Amino acid sequence: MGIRTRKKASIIRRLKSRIEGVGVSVRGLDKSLRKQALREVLAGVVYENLMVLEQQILSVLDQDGIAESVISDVSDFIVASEPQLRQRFIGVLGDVLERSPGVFGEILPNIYQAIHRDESVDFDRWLSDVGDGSNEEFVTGLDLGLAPLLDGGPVSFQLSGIQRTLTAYSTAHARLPLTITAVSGDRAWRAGDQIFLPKSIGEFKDSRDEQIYWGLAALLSGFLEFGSEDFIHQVEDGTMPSVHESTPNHHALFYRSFKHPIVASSLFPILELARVTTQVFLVYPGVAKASAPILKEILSRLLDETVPHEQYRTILWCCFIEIGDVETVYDRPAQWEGALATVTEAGSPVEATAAAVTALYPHFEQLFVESQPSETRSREIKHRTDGLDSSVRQSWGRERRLRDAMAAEGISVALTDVRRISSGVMNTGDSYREVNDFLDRNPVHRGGIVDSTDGDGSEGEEFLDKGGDVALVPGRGALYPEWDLRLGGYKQDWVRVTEYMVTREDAEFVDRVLDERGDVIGQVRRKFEAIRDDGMLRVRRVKDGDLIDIDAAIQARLDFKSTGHVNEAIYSRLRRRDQGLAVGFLVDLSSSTNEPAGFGARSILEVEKEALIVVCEAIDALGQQSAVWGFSGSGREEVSFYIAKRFHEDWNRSAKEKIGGLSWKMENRDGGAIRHAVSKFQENDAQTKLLVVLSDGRPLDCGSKEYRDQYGRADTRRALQEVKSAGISPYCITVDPSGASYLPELYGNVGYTVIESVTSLPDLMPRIIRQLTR
Amino acid sequence: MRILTPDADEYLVTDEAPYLESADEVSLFEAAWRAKLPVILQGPTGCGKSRFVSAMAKRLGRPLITVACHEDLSASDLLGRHLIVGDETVWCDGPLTTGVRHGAIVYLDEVVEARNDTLVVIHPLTDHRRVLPLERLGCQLGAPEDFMLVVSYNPGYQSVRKEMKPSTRQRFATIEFDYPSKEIESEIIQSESGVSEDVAAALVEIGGRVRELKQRGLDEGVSTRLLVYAGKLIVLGVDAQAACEMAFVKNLTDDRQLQGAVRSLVSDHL
Repeated sequence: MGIRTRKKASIIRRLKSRIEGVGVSVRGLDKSLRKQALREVLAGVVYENLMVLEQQILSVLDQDGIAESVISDVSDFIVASEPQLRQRFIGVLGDVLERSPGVFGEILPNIYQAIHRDESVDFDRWLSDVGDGSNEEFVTGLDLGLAPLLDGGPVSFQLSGIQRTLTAYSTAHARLPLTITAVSGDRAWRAGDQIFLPKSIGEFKDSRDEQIYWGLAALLSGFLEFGSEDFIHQVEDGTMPSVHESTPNHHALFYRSFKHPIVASSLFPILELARVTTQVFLVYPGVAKASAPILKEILSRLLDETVPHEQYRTILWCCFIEIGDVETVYDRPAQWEGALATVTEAGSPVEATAAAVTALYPHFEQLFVESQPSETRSREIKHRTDGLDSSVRQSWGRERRLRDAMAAEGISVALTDVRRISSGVMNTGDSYREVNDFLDRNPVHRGGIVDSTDGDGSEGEEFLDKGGDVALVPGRGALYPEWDLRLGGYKQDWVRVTEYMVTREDAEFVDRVLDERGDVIGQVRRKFEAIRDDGMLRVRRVKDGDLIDIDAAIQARLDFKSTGHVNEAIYSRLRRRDQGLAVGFLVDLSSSTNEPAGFGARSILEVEKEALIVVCEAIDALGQQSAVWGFSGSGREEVSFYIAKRFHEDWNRSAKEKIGGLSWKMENRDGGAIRHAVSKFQENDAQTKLLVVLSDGRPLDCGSKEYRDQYGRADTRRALQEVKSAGISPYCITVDPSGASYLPELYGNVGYTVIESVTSLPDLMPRIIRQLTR
Repeated sequence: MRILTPDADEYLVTDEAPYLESADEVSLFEAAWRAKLPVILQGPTGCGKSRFVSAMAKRLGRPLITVACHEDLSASDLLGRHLIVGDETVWCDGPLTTGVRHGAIVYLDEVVEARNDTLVVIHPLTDHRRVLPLERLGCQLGAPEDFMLVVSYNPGYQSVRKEMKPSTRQRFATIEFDYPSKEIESEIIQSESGVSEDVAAALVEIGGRVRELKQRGLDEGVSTRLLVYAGKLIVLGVDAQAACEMAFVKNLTDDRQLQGAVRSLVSDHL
């Protein structure tokens, strides 16, 4: 997954671990931090005019010490409040988590129970959704406005059925690796390389529901294909405020060139959608034929409803009229004509959209000014926030107003982005470090974090336990060098890799896999046993064999006729082609592997383990050897190398259960683990050695300052060169959709496979291994 | 002892099909031929490597001897073997020996399919010596000026067992092939299949999109050859979607979901 997503996933995962270990994280925490957290909440509460809670928090802040009971009061408030009030407060909490995850981490565990008790709130989703929509890129989408879309019942069309197909389709359109994510609600949008689509559509209750997905995928990937991201806004000297951006965001720069950037930023995506839609329909007649009538029907229906942002919808509608044979049902103002015509011309570039925004801006600016909040309301907000720290008050108010205003214009932007834009803080790593520091104040045992979901209710305690699922291997492990890109050389003895044997045997996991995938495993076994002869070589000119070697026999006869000498080596026989194949699987156990895999409840790691069971079965059927290792850790002193199966160990129930016993840990410092894996191959004399790295993202060790981005990739690349020098072929199988952007640098153009859908891994992995070793 | 060598005429290229140059591969090949360098043609399946070498043989007026390599290919298969004809023992030249005798272009197609120990026999031909030792005849043949050894190699195979040994690979100059540009691929499809310019353009677009899925589920992108197949079927009146289905949708992958994506890419354009 991308770094940003990965960071967020890591934060959420680790926060959840703390939350589920209530009692661990609250005791002994820094009071000043807790006070700061409450100040953050207070700012939001004041802004939302939640007076009851405001008084409670203020009274506590006035006290010298902050009792834990205060937080209980907050929880009680959530439970006791009217649903509407409660929702608003939960919204405040979400905003605070976005603003200051580290600070909020102090109180989050304590409100967890309270939120959890509210059946209307899906806590996991709430936590996961915090920050969604945040992006540094131009975001656009289509508000379908289809009321029955969400969970439309058994006749609605589920995205899950075609998600993988759509991902491949969109990727081919955009010529970039895209991912498709299912979301609740009826909006479809794109941000960066992600397309978000409703998880089900039940609008028509027939095949048209599926067609909506295809149309949306073509449209949203069209933004990349037709250059929305290529927008360059020419900044004239002296017209732009200073922007704290290392890489200019030209969309943002363009918006800021207007008196009311909000107006421009709301117009631009709508017009750009119209432009891209036109291009898609013109270039892909098949899409236009299949999808345009459906989209037009949806949009025409919207016009009959009283909906917000009607003016914007109208623009879009008018653009659609330009495209095809739709009857004019709306009289558009004459001044729109020219602007819309340029946007919807064939081959129209993104600059045409910018020109159209400029042309339409005056009309919509007037509407915007008329809809601004009154001064009375502003004064009220100011009065109520006087008691707060001025910087908190000002920033909160500014950010919230900005976001609300944007929301009113139909633009969904996360508070983090608003904050970043308004404060000039561009490095989202700051908040990550903040939460990381908070989390790291609790000690972590040397074997890495034990999966807190594996326990039986005592998860929180297990979190800090020394871990019962692995055992340190005395004397095994070593110091390895690490390649430093900046130095252009190795840092000797830089990384300590410590070996652990997986001792936990997960019988339940194996039972489930055998139960659910028994048929597949049986098929794979039979298939691989059938091709086992492929590994045999016919040796010619031997004295004993199952066939006569015709060439040798003729030569022998010739020799006999000319010399009288009898050569008996006239047979051929089969022998194993070489001294065998050894495949070592090195599994990234970083925390992000505990993220859900697709739509199922299983994590990425769970599916990877299923795949390992299947593929090891296949390798065993070939009569060859496999080993399974995991790696994780945090920092250069603690790269943990977990051994689930060794080469010489039999493929039996115990080996399978130990693979089941692998659990997610922390970071992935790939270089050290790969170097250690090479040492494990040295114990094996197979002629063909294959190291398969099973990954879900880039090399990244947040336990150190430098092991990320170029540094991490450079070290990993160097480690892989060492792998090749040792006569081992490295190969990477990744579920990271952006893998194609960095894996060629590490593994070469043909040394990796990106798995679009992790759930297909158990089916694909044996095929990949078969292809690699045929 | 009698030596049987097939006539050079048997290997002269008579195919009239034109070859459309994508970049500077023609001049590079000619230069390698003049410099007496062996050449690797490297590129994905169906991008025109074999067609190219055939066109070059015709252009240079040399016989072309093609060997489809496989795992059981032995040194004898390349060099030749003794045969008994009546009471007589004769030596029958293999394709490599024949090529050396006639100053031909010998083309080892999909060279990685042959075992490395077999390929060792070409080593003396591919360095400054340019000789072919024939152990069984107790002699060695010097390659004439016109002789050239060409091999094709598709790195997309990904098999760790089928990589060329560096000692073999470093004897060759390399010409890299990729799928042709849109314009050229369209021309190829039109001339080979007879479809209209519009249909050819649509097939090219489809090909380009499908190739984006290489290593994202597909082992190989759709080849120009398969696009030509689709064109030929369309010319014969087969429905365009059905033609593409038959020509490449079903044989690019067994993965039904990926087939679905490829199918939709086809329907986007046709």
